[in-house]
Parts: sequence; structure tokens; C-alpha cells
Amino acid sequence: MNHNEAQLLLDDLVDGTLSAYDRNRLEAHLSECALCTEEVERLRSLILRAQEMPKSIPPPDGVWQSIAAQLPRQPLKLLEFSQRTQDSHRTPRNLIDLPLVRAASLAAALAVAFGGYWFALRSPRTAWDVERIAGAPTIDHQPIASAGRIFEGNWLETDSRSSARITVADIGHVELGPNSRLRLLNTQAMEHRLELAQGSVHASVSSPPRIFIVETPSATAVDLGCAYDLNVDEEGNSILHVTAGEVSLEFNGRTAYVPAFAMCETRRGIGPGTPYSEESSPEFRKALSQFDFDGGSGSALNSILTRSGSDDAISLWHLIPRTIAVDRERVVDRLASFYPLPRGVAREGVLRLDSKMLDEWLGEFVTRIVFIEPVSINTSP
Amino acid sequence: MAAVAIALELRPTTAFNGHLTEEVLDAQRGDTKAFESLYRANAGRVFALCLRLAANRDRAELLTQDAFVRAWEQLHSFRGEAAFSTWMHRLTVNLVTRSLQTQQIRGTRESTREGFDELPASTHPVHAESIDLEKAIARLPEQARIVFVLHDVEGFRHEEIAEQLGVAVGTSKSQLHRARQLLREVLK
Repeated sequence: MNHNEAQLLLDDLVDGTLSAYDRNRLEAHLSECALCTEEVERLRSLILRAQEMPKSIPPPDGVWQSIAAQLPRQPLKLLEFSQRTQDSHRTPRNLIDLPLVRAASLAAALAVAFGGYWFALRSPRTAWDVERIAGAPTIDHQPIASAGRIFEGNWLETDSRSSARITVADIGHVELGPNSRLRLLNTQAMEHRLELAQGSVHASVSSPPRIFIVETPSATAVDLGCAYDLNVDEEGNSILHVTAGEVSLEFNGRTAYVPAFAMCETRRGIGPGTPYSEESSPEFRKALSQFDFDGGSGSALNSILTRSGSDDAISLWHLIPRTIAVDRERVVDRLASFYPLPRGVAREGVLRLDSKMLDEWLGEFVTRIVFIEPVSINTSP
Repeated sequence: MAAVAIALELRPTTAFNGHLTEEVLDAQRGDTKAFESLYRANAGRVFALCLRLAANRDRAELLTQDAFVRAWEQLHSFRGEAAFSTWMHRLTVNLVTRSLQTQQIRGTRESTREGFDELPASTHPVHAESIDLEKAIARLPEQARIVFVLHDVEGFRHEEIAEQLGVAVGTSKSQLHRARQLLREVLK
């Protein structure tokens, strides 16, 4: 083994990941090469120092107070929906031609179920409180000190060192990340609408579905009762990551339903792509992106099907109405290999996009949620 | 409050709930005092991780806040199969790496290499040699820094790092090689 080859294997040697064959060859070289031997010692010393670094560093004072201020006073309780056959409790799917269990009827059903929901009785605020988290955020170019108010039509902006937290009426909060531009479009009893032109938000909202809406240049994010991150780049493309509940992404009739622990990308002029699980592999995501945004070629679909696993069920389900003929059959069969068709759902029905059957099948791999009465909690530190 | 009772009844069963401590259970019921106790016990570990990965003290503070707010939001999903600290650590790694990658895609990253000059050496027992290494790590290129911190400081395997970052295992290895090489040069 020559010196250059040995140099490339030193990391594997100290990490203990070298094959016996290479280890023997390398050790033979080390017995003759003082330079490599010294390198090994220095590597081991560095790794030891790294391992001995303090695992804990006290955060600055006041971090807990900032966290406590962000904990929703009336947290959304997301529960596994135990009775999947109760259509009245289902959240809207709104996927292409699937039946829409409209939010109004859902909200009404819930209001009846829980003895009259508090939300519908509330009067909206005409302005929202804004709290500075870091840096110097501005409202319509006016810096805010520690707190401010944003009215309809106002822009809240942050630079690279700024961030801010907005209290969204009585239903939750939105944290605006650095380098972001956000406008309050309107705030009414049954709709709160923002425009995120650029940057990032983390939204945590406790309200009936379709009350909280964020418009971006490439799609509109309709909250179905949830928490999520939404990032919009300079070109208006976005990435949505839902951490609780579910979100509907909509643009010109193209819709994606994104449940918790799933993500979805959007492109300006195209709209939402196919949602994917946060567990999906990079290769699978790449194939999806090619399918969604680079022409949807057959080779991309082949790659999607080959690389898909049970974690990718939400993607396969979305692809059923986005494919035709034999391709649709392949998608259906692939999904059925992970989640067999439930009782009462026929392959033929799914292939002809029977909305009720598709909805039933979705229930096999998406955790159902139900919006319930908020619970008052004490958030004082 | 009938719905609350329903909520508690429907909370997932905990067949493997060895780590569902009273504090965790109370926090899952919405007790912020209990959640504060969990914060006090885990904040140092989370902040250290955020600081090393982000190499920016302000950013690390925000990420720490974000991690605990997320933990609160997702607490219902904690089943107790592992210790809360393990769950919190994994949640933080996911959040920070995703946040850094998103910023990288958008090209909006704040300048890094800040914050370690401010490490409060006088307020906690970090010896000088360790601070030198902290500073050197903070000056690494981002990908190399993330891989080094996850592999050599936190003990992740290359396969886990590659999955976390959405890169090939070979890329993780080459970034680690680069990081170690740069650190050896700086720390000569």
C-alpha cells in the first residue's frame, strides 16, 4: 500500500470500519511510515477530545420565558380517530374530485358534538399583536421595539438577524423567521388570511378547518387544524412540513392533502407536487420531484414505484388520480402491496377514482384526527 | 370538559411505556410546570447541540426555543419507548438539520462562526482546550461541521447521518475526513 492510499484509509482505521484485509495492509504500511503513524495518533487524539466535549451548555437566561410565551394557551388536542366509519368527523380531503366534506359542515358537526364551539361566538380582532423575538423586525418599514400591532394590509418584515411572533386572533400563533415578508390580508370571524411572499413561518393554530390560510406565490396553504413549517424561496417556490394535524395545499384546482409528518413542495405556476413522508428516502423524493415538476415521465414513475416503501403510502395514494390507464393500475397495485384494500373497497372502484373508496383506503395509513374542545391551561412560568 | 375526558381516554395505550414518567404524563395533560421541569433537565444538552450545529449563538437560542415548542406540540406522540432525553435529542437533530438545509437552499444563512467567542467559560466548567476545539469546529464549512458534530461529538453512524442529511454515505464520510483534516491543521 502506498502513502496516498494509506492516507485515505486512516479515518476508517480509527473509526474501526476497515475490512480485515485493508487493515492488515494499512498496518503494514504504518510500521514503515512515521508520517501516517503520527497522523493516526493525531486523529485519535482529536476524536477523544471531541468525545470529551461538554454535552451540556447552559442556554442564556430567558429562553424558558420565551418558550413559555409560545406555548398555546389552548392547545389543539390531536387524537387518533378511533371510529373511522363516522364520516361526520372526517376532515376535508379536497383532492381533485374527491368528495369534499366541507369545513362548514364539519365545524357545525363538531359544534353540536361538543355543545357549541367557542370559536364561532368570538369577535375577531382587527389587529394582531406582534412580539419581537430577535433583531429588528419592521411593520410597514417601521421598526418595532419589543412589541407592536399589525393591521390588515400591513407588511411584517425581518432581516437576516430578525424574527417575530404573531398572535393570530384567538386561535394560535405564527413565528416569522429571518429574511421573511408577511402581510396580513384579512382577519374575520371565520377566516384569517396571510400572505407569505418570502421566507419562513412556523404556524401553530387551534381552530376548526379552513379558518387559517396562508397564501404563497405558488400555492395556498389551508389549515385543517395543525402545526406546520412553510418556507418560500426567492422564486416563490415553497416547502411545507406538517408537524401536527393536516394542511391542504391548493393552486388552480390542483390540490394536495398533507397530513402530519409529511412534506410537500410547490412550484410557481404549477402548484403543489406530491406530498411525501418525512421518512421517504432522498432517491424517492428526487423521483417524485422529476415526476411532478419535470414533465412526469414514465421513467420517473418507474423510479417512484421501484423505490417506494410502506412509508410512501401517502405519495402513492396521491398518484392514483395523477396517473392514467396502466400506470394507475401499477400505482394502485403497489400501494395495495403495503396496505391491502379494506373491506368494501374494490380495485375497480379505486381505478375509476371512486371518491368514497379512495377516502376509505386513505384511512388505512393516515392517522385520523379530530378537533376537540380546547382546554385552558396555565402558562405562567 | 367532557371532551377532555375523551382526550385522556383516547390517549394512545402505552404497552412500552417505561419512560413515561409522571412529569411527562403531566406535561402531556397540558401542565406547563411539568414541561418546564423537562426543559430544565434537557435544555443544556439541546442548546449545546444547537450551538455546535448552527455555530451561531443567536440562531442556537432560537433553535432551542423552537425545539421545545415543537416538543410541546408533539408531546402526544411520545410513547415512552425511549427516554424523553433521547426523544428530545432526536427531535432537535431533525429540526436543526432541516432548518439549516432549508436556509442553505434559500441562500439566506446568517454568517456563522459567531457565538463561540462568547462562550461563558467563567460560568461553566469548559476548559480552554475544549473552547479551542469549539471555536475550530465553528469555523468549519457547514456540511463538514454538521457531519463532524453528529459523528464525532454525538456518536451518530454515517448511515444515520446520510439519511438525516439526505446525502450518500460516501458524502458523509468525505465530509468527516475533510472536517478532521481541517481541525488537525487548525489545532496544530
